[in-house]
Amino acid sequence: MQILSQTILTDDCHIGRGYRISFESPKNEQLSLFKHGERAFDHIIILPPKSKGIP
Amino acid sequence: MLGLGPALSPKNLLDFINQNGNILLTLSADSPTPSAIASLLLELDIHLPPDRTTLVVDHFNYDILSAAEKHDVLLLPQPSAVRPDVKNFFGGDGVIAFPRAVAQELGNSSPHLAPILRAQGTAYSYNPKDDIESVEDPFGVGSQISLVTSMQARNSARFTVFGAVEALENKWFDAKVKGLQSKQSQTANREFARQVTGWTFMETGVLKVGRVEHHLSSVEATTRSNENVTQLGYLNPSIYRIKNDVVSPSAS
Repeated sequence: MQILSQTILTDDCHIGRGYRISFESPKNEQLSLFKHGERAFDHIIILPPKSKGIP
Repeated sequence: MLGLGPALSPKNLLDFINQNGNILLTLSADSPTPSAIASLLLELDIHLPPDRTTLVVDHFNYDILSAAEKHDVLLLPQPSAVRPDVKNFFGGDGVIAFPRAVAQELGNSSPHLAPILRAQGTAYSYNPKDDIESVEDPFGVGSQISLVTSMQARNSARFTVFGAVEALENKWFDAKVKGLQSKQSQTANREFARQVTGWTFMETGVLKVGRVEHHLSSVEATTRSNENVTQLGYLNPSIYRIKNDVVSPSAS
């Protein structure tokens, strides 16, 4: 099973339970949740965009 | 920021759910939630604070080791079951550290929503950029605040809104925390993360229909119990006439 996650922050490496994980940035123009009309991934984890605020 | 980019537009996310995909959406008080996402959540009757930079604090239930001044690392007991007749998928005896969380308030009208983790009675949500010393009319108060919200669509796909992405970081899995009146302890974050992702990705809590039987109510079983009833053709027939009365004695 594949998981897509938009990662700028972190590493939740607790997921190792038989999932195949791929990390994608939403800026990637090739990214699509669908392939030929079907889901390209089983599940998605969405992480918050990197804050541009004052650290 | 308006959205999460073209691939993760609200329409694409909804289409993903409608095609039985599960989504875990994480938020952070350090990162303003894009307005497109806030609108998407509103469609699901999940309300976010109108200001983008709000934060949940609790002056009575915070980690004194890491948040002695800001009180923005909430300490919460692992939750109890949503209803007494429902199995608790998220329980335990430990304490969850929830840093820099975004509050959610759930509308009453949707039967698909349930709070997995609620804030404690002393928590509230406020905008740290406000200069005022006291907060008037805060967005969310106490246990009205849902910190982790679950939505199960009619096709059973699951969408979980997790209010503090930092709670999923490795450093919080092994952290030691201490409340105002409690002893130092290790967090239950690792277990909670496993439970929330397990539920969201349908590893747990999925009902499956085992076997459905149906037959015309006017036909009674006259067979002995060790005969295979389906061979007689009356159980689960493939055709009914209109106005047949159908009985379904078991769907296990």
